[in-house]
Amino acid sequence: MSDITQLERLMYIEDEPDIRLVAEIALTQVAGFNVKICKDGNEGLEAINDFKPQLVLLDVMMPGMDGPQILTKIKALDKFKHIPIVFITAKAQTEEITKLKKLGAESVITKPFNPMTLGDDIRTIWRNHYVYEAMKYATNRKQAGTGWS
Amino acid sequence: MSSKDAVNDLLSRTKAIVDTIVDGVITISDHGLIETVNPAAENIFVYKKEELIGKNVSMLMPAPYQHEHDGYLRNYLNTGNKKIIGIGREVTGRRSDGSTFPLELAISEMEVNGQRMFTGIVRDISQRKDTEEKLRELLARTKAILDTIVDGVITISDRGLIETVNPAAEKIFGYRLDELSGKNVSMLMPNPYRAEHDQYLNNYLSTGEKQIIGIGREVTGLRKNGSTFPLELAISEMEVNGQRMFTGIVRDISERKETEDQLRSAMRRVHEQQIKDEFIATVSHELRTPLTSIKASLELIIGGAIDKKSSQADMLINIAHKNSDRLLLLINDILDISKIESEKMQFNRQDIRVKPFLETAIFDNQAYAEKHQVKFILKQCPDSLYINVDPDRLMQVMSNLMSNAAKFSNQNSVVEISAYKVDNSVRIAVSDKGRGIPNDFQNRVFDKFTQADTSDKREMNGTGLGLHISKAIVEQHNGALSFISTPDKGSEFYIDLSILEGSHKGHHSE
Repeated sequence: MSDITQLERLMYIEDEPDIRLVAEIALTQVAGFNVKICKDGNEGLEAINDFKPQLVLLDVMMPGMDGPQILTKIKALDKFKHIPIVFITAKAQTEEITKLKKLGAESVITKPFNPMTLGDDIRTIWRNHYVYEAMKYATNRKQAGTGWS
Repeated sequence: MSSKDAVNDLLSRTKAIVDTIVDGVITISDHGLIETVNPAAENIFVYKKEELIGKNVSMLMPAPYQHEHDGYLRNYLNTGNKKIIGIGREVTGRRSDGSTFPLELAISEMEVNGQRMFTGIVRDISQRKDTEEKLRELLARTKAILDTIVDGVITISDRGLIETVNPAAEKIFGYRLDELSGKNVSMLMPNPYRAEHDQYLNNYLSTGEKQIIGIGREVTGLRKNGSTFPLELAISEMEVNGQRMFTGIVRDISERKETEDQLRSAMRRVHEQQIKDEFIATVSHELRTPLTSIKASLELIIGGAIDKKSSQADMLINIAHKNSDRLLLLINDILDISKIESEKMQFNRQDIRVKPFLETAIFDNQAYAEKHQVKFILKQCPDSLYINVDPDRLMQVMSNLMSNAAKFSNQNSVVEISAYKVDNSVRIAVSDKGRGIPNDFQNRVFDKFTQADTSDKREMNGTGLGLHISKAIVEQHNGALSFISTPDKGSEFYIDLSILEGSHKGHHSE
């Protein structure tokens, strides 16, 4: 049985075919993830229930549904509203990154990314998310009281 | 009727009149003693008749008149010097409760049975006095307002002559009242308004058509020193003693205008900066996208993630190569945009014949046709059409239009290129039978970094700048680039350029 604290399955939605290809190599062959790569939001939202990603990577500027719109749709799904969503974007200006984080993204990775370290970067984001969630859970339990103290 | 009856009748009529009139009527003897009072006098002084008859009339006056009255009467009887006889004097009366009030008094003298008597007719004018006082106060207030408000107030007659001017109007226009009074108000307007003003006024008076009445019009004023300034004008009409007059309220809005101008230009600068910032952000995004593919492909190979001799390595090298081309195209287009926007794009214009130019365009762009499996054909072009253009720049536009037509055409279809004369222009058209431009995208076709959203990105690879640049190039030739497009039927982009004078056979040698 897999360890739920380990990141294994991730989904990446990206409209640029060449970036999809290099990212797939980086995330599977280099980083060893089980990756579902989708070309747009519709494909991603269709696949999400079956694939059950632990984390979603999203491009921002895409025709049709853009990254922020896809984020909103995923956050509206009961099963996936708590999974971390990370934007991978060529919008690299500080104010653009701040804006994306405010939308509820866990983190923002800017393009061009380094394919040799992309997996490590995502694992760090995952770990931070996991630690933060665990601490939040513990704090909530303490505040609610266990009945033993 | 006997004469006695007639006298009685007259007496009763007189009594009826005296009893009912609103003025108080009091008769006194030459000693100043009250002999008769009518009911109005009782009411006015709040005494009963019995309390008054036989008393000195001075009881109806407050001090000091009370004491002076007997003196007056005596003086008159002795000297004939009329200090009290006459009409319309305003004096002060005293009621039974001691309160005083203003009254108008008319005294006449008569002789009854050889005895001198005086009749006083009194009218309580408290109310009138009160009204007069209020009116005076109102006038003072109005004057104070007019004297102190910052708006200029000018009244003119129906002939356009200035009647009154408040201090603010004097200050606004730089004239003194005496320099304006009686002059035609048009002296405060520069030409052509000056000449038009009398005409307006006459027109309004004869037709009632309000060209000048109303509020908040912005017009131009003329100061005494000849300078002009923007002013806000409100004109209203009024009637004074049956005569039509106009009141103009003027406000010097020079400062406001200046502030508005400053604000507008500041907003324009902010907007321009925003556009520039957005452009830089978009450029950065557009450059980073192919760079991501190039860099990642090469890093995967260099980093040893894949075997350098594998087919995957070949694929990655191809990706890097293809995206390098795309990056180069982008950089060229961005440079063109920058040149266009800073108006530094050079045009080397010359007279060219359209037909060989289009034939060259078809030949040079054959690669697009092959790539997208379409055919470019020259459908129509008279031999004798000439235009004056920079051929390299116009070729850039043709390549853009033809590559777009090829990209969006169905396979094995034909893209028609034609040129013909329309009025005094030459129209060059590139027409495809492809997917057309979605209706909601048609108004953004020429914007920078725009491409219609589509799920099929097989051959999009454009920079999103081509049509923007093409339009700018055509416009720099004083021409126009337009299109008609029907979704799923196809598009036609056409360039209209001035025809060269004397477009005929043999005009120029090739």
